Amino acid sequence: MTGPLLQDIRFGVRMLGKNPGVTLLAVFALALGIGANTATFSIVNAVMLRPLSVKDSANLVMLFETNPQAGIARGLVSYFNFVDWKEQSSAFSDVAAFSTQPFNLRSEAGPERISGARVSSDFFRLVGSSPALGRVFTADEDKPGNNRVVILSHNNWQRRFGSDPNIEGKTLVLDGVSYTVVGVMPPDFQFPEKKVDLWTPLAFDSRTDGSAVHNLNVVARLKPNVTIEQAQVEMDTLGRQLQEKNANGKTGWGVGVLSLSEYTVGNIKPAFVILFAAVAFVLLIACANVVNLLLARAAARQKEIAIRSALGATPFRIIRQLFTESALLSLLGGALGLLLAFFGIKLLLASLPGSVSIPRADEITIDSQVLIFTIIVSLLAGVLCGLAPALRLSKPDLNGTLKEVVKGAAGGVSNRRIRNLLIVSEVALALLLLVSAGLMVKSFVRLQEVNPGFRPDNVLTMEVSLPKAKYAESYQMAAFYRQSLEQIAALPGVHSVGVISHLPLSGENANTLFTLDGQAAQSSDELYAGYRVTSSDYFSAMSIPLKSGRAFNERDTDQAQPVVIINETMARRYWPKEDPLGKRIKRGDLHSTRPWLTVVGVVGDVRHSAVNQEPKPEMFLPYQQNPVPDMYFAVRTDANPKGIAPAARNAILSVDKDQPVSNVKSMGEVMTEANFGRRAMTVLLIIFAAVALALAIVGIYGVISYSVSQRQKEIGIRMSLGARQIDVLKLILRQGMIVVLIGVGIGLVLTVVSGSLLSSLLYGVSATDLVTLVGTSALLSLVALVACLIPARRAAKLDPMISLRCE
Amino acid sequence: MSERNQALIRLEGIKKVFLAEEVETHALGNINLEIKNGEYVSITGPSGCGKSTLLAILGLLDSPSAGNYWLDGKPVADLSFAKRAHIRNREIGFIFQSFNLIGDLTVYENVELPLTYRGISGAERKALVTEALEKVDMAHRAKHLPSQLSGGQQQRVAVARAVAGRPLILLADEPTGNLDSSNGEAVMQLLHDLNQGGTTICIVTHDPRYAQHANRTINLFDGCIVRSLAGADQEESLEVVPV
Repeated sequence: MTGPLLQDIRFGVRMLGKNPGVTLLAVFALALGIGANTATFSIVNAVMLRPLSVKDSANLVMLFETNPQAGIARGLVSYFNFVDWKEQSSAFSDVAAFSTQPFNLRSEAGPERISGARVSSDFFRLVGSSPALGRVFTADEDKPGNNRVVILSHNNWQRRFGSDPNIEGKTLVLDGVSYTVVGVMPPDFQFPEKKVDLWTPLAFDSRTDGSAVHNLNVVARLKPNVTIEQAQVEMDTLGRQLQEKNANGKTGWGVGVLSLSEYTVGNIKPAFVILFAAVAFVLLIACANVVNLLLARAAARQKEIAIRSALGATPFRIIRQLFTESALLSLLGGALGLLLAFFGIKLLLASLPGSVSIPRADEITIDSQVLIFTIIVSLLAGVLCGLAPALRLSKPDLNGTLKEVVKGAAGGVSNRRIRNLLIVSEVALALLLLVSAGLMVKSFVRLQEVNPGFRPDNVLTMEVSLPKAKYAESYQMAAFYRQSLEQIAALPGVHSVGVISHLPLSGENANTLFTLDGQAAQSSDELYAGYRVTSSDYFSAMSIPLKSGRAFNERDTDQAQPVVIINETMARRYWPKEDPLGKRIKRGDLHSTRPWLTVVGVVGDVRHSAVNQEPKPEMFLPYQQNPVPDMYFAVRTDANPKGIAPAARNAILSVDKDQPVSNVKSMGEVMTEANFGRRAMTVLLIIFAAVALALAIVGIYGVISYSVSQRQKEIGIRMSLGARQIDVLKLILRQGMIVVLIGVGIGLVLTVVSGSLLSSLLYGVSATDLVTLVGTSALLSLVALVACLIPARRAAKLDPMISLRCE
Repeated sequence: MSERNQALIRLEGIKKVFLAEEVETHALGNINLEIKNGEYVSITGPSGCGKSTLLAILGLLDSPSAGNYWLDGKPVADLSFAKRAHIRNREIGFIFQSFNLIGDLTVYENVELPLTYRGISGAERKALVTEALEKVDMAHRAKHLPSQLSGGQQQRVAVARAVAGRPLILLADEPTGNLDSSNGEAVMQLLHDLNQGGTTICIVTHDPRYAQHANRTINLFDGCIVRSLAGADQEESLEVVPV
């Protein structure tokens, strides 16, 4: 078996070398198709398929709070819910909580912001990882007061501590407090985030953390033989029981259970499905082109195959020979495709903005799984490409073929039908991709046209996170912000500056339950609104219009009447026929002891979470009355905002020399990052559609050219009988364009049928947008016409005498 | 293998009709023929008389529309494509007018090809190929491509390929048609020598000089055998069957 197979391979290599032009064309077409698939798979593999860097990650689930009424699909968890779930659930072998949190690290180089996670003591046991150096936290260290210990990530240990083998017992100052290093994790442990630098104990303290705050992520490990569905059923029951016991009439709350991988990347699945469909279509179009090339070559090889058959080669043996050749071709295409994918991924990763928009993007690489995928796709492409030529040639007309001295013509009508079918398929698939790309472009343009509610130009943003140890009291935080705002406002080129707890489009958000003054005590309606803490000039810095009332001012101190500014959506929803100014609301439910807040102003709506999401009710509270440790500065400048960044940073350092400033970006960059996924998807679809169009056009050109070369004698006869050049031109164009237009028709039907898949990614444009459908169809038809025109003109210029001599 | 003088090929009532666009063309009509083991038979006749069609049916390159065909005592008229390929590979050697060597294979590989399909081991293939090439005096050109050989040399290679697998019968369709007279003579001498060595040969030719090399000459006309002459013009049988 090996010997003949080797012979087939040897001969296959020789055949590929015999027609280097055809081979190169086929290999390049396949490389484009396979490379696109490999690149997409390597992304999907890293983001969705490859297990997370924790032990048995398939058994890990995330637990979260849900409240569909309040629009909360995956809410963070309160500490008390975490404790209840941990104690009362039976589906899990372990339940742990963590909260990602940045820390200010004091170092010789100055203050630095680093990523960290506060984790419950059983966190490391649950994720099944032991430290490379030292130990994990003890249960005792998970208590307030005992929690001044820290475990370093391997990367942090290497980078900041020079891989010091005696790091255990040394101290570092985080948020102004000394922590003792007790361990270093191994290099492959990067949970809950890749970029985490250190872990500290959760050590929940109801006095400082707030008993009603929902700020924990909860991870659990399923017991053996327990499915996610079973765990969900148990948590549904538990959630109901706890709600009845604890919720004081609150309704609508539930518990969600999702696998860790689904939780991490589930929301980007639809985009990947579409991308995979797109690259599969590109590969199919590439294969159709290669089939065309191989069919033409098969026609030229009829005699060789007939000889083989006459000498006793069975149809199976001939098919194997032909498949060996197409497999060699596709493996070469696969190898080149792998190279294209490698550089394509590098290009993609290089184009990522500073903050990673694709989860686990830094794990995207060509690994053994990607290699296996590429080989399988290559071989499948080989089978697909070799099928039609193999079936055409496996049972040749021996008697007729062997008697002919010269043979080169195609296999007549049936071959022509196959070619036409291939062109129809190519055009239909290319149109599907063109329409998808067109719709995404239109959707993207529509999004760019959406007014986010603020003007992002010339706005600099910076983040600070005040350490609790240094800023334990509210007045300390308020003083820091006041002084920093004054320092920055005094800088030349600064128009206005404000602070905000949750910057629009930054990915951060907070909602609060609130009660309207006069809301019936028996009302079971729970009202939620976005919750922001801000300063007086934030609205002018962001150019958010004040619609009525006033902005905050320096008189809104903690001694003054508590006030609130709301957005237009909130005003319309809760005071539809009244002036909201002077009305009162308070955070929390009816029984809340928080103070009533008087509405003093209404500002324009801001699209906070995403530009494509309608504004939701939002309330803004003055920082003097509600200081929080984590704030963004928004600085409106009269020129390039990044230019003023060093001065603004120094202004903050002049207030507190130990206070790090992070996430220094222009608001334009923040918006670009927020739109990156959609932009990347649009760009990729444009690239794939362009490749598909190019391949389809090459395919059409190839088929029509081949057809002209085969019909030279017929054309000569027609011309000798009086056909004019224009008649020949029309003949060839008609032949090509009928096939193209059938393809366009089928493509349009496919587009309409598959529209629902894309519609979830579109904004402001229907999946069956007439202008896009007609425009892309016209574009494709026009380009196809040009592709047909070139061989048609060649046919029209044939010398009838030469054509007639041509056999 | 059949004993000498036993019927190696027996055709009974073989007909061949080609259908093309509702037009029936009767290429062969009621052919009855026996070729004995060790015989050297030539089939002659004017162009279009059905010589090559008859040879194609004898060589299982084509199947008859009607009639029976026994090869070495086994019925082969209604076999599948794959089974016919199997028999062609083991029992029949072909020599074509246009040589039909594969241009991308060397002389050695061309001769080796049918043996490869037979699944013979590498060492045995080498021995058989070498023997066949030496028989036609082409061993020194084993590594050449067909395009590097003259027509006569190519046909000698084709003969080597045909005999390498030691078939029951050698079928040659106008083997000298593309050769000059001296090369043609040389090839015919080769076939004569092979027959002398015991190989059964059936040759289609329209050249009476080459037909004379055979022990028996069968004349075809309009798809029917009109005359069969054996030895020195001795009439063995005469059969005319209207198509």
